[in-house]
Amino acid sequence: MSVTSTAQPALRAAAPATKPRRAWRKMRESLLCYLFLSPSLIVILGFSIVPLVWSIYYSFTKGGMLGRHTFVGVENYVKAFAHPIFLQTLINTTQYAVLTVPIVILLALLVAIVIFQLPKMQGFFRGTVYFPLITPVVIAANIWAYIVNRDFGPLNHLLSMVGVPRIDWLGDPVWAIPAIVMMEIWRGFGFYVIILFAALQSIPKELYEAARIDGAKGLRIIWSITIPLLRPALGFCFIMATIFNFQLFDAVYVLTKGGPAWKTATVSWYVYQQAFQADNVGFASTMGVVLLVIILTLSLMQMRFFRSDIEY
Amino acid sequence: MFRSQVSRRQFLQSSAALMSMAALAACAAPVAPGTSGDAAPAAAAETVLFWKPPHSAQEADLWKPLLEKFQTENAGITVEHQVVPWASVDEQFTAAFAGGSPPDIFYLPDEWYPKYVNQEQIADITDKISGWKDQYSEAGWTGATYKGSTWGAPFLGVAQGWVLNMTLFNEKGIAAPTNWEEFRAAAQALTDTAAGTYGVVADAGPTNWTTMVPLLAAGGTKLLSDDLLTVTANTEGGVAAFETLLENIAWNDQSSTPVGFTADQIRSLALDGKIGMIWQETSTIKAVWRTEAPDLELATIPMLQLADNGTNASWANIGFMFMAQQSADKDAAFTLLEYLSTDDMQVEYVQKGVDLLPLKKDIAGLPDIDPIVEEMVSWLGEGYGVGTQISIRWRDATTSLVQEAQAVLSGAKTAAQALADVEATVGPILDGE
Repeated sequence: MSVTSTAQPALRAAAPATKPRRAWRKMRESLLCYLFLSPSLIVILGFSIVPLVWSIYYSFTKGGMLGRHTFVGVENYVKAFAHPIFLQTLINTTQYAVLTVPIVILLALLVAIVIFQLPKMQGFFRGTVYFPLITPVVIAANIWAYIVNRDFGPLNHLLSMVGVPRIDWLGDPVWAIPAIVMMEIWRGFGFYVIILFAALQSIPKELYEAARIDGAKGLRIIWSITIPLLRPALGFCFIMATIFNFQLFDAVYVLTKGGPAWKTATVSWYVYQQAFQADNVGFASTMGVVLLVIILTLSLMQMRFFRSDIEY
Repeated sequence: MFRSQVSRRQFLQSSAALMSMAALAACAAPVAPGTSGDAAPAAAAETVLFWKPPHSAQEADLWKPLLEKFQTENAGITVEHQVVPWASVDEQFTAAFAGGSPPDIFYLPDEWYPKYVNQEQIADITDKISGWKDQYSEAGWTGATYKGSTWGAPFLGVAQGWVLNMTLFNEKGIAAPTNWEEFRAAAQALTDTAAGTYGVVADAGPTNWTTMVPLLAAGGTKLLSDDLLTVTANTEGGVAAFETLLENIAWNDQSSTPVGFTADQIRSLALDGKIGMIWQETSTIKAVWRTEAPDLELATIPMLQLADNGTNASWANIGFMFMAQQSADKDAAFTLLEYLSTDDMQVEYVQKGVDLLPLKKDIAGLPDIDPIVEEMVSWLGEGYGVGTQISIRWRDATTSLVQEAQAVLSGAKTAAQALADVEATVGPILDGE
C-alpha cells in the first residue's frame, strides 16, 4: 500500500513528458495497422472502388469497352427504363429472387435444425449439404441440365409416375425460371445451413431447458426461442441470398444464355452481353448502376427489418 | 544461446512495409508494348504473337509444322501461337487490348471484327494489301472492307447446309426433300419420340442465326437493310419462313428436337443416327461425321426457297487475319500476315487441315474432297451464300433473332410477333454507322 501511495506524485509529475510519446506510440500503432491492412485496401480500391466509380461515370457516356466515350447525361437511364429487354431482365431477376430467397432460407433453416438435433454425424451432414456449393458451376449446370432433360431426365421420369406430362424445363418459357431456381436452391442452401447451424450452436441451452420446464414443446420452442435468437443470422442469410440472386449470372450463362425468348435473362447476364458482346459499355454500366441501387435499397430495408435489439 | 537482434515489433513493421510494397508493385500498370516500334526491346521485336480460335480439335498440332516452316524461312522471327477458345474470345481479346499486350496477328470472323475496328485496335492495312484484291473472291474481299478501309486478309470461308441422314430416310422410304411441303412431311415421318428419333433440328442454340439468316433469305429477305438503318426481317416472306420451320414444323408438328436439348445431346443423337436433318458446317463432315458415324449415309440440301423472291440459301461467312494496331513490330507481324495469306496456307490449313473454303481465286478443290462438302461449296458458286452483314450492331441483331426464334420454337410467340419484336428491339439501335 505504501509503495503505491508514494509513487503516485512521481507519476503525475512525469505525465506531461509521456503525453507526446504516448501519442506517437498510438500513431505508430495505427500506422502499423494500416500497413497490414494496405494489401487488402489496395485490392478493394483497385477491384471494387475504382471500377464502381468508373462504372458510374460510364453510365453517363456512350462508347465501347475501349476507345472514346461521349458524355450523354442521363440519356442511358431514360433509355434503360424504356428498354423492353432490360425491363424483361428486371422482371426475371426479381422472379428469381422472390422464388429463391424464401425457399432457400426456409429449407436451410429446417435442415440446420434437423442436423442440430442429430446426436451423431453432424459433421458428415454439414459437409454433405455444402458439397453442391463447392462443385464448379459448369459441372453443376451440366448435371442439372441432365436432371431436367425433357426426354431422359430423372425429374420428368419421377413426375410421369404421378401422371405429370413431360416438361421441357429449360426450353419452355414458363418453366425455365423455375428450373434454374431449383438449381440455385440446390447449389446454395448448404451455405445458409452452415450459417444457421453455427447460430443455433450459440443459443444457450439453458433457455431451452427453462422453456421445457415451463411446458413448451417442439414448434413452440422453435417459434419462441430459436427463431427470435436466430434473427441476426436469418437477417444475414436473407441479405446475402437477395444479393446473390439479384446478381445471378453463371447458371443463366451456362444453361440457357438468357433464352428461351429472354425469359431467363438476368440483369447481370444482360450487362455482360451488352458490355462484352455488343460493346455497349455505357448502357451496360447504366444497367449495372440501376442493379446496384436496387440491391443496396433492398439490403438496407432488410437490415432495418432484421435489426435485433433483443438481448438475452 | 542465439538471441535475435530484431524485435517482434520491428519484424512486424518490416513485414507490413514489405507486404505493402509488394502489393503496390503488383498493382502497377503493366508496360504496354507501345505504339512505336522504336521503344520496344530488341528481343521482343522479333517475337510475333499469333492468336486464333480453333477450327479443329487438333488446332495446335495443325499449326505447328506450318509455323515452323515460317520460322525457318524467316530466321530471327519467332511465332508464339495461342489457341483461344471461341467461348472466351470477347474476354481474352478485350483484356489483351486493354492491357496493351494484344496478339500481333489474329484471326476473327466477320461478325466479331467491327467491334475492334471501332475500338481502334485493328490496324488499317488498306495501303499494304490493296494490291492483293484480284487474288481473292469478291465476297471475301468485300467482307474485309468496313467503313471504307480494308482491315484484314481474307483467310477462310465457312459453308453450312442441311445434312440429311439418308440411312434414316431410306428406312422410312422417304426421298430427300426438294420443297417445303416435302421437308415438312419428311420431318413428320422421321419423328418418333418413343423411338427417340427426330425429323429435324430447328436449332435453338445461341448461334442459331446461322440457320435463321438463310431461312430469312429463303423467304426473300435479310435481317438488316443494306444501309444498316432498319430491320428488314419482318416482311411477309420473313414471317412465312419463320412460320414454316419454327411455328409449323417445330412447334405445331413437334417434329424437331426440344428447345431444352443441349448441343452435346443433339450431337450425340445425330451421330447415333436418330436425327433426320441437321444444319451443319462443312468442317464437321470429315472431322465428325465420317469419323464418328462412318456407317451413316449422308446427303445435303440448302435451305429451300420459300417465297417467289427468295432463294435456296446456305450460311456462308468469312474469317480474316488481322494485325493489331498496338503491335510492337508491325514489320515482323506483317511478314507473318503475308505468309498466312499464301496459296500454301490456303491448301495446307484451310483445305487439308479443316475442310473449309479457301478464299483465293486460284485454289482448286482437292481431288479427294468429300461429296457433301463439294455440294455445299458448289452452292456458293450458284449464289446461295448469305452471311454476316458487316456491322457493329450485327451481334445485337442476331442475339435478338436467336431469342425470338426460341420464342416461336417454344410456342411462346407466333412468327409474326417474334419478328415484330426483333424489329422493335433492334431498330432503335441502328444508326447506319
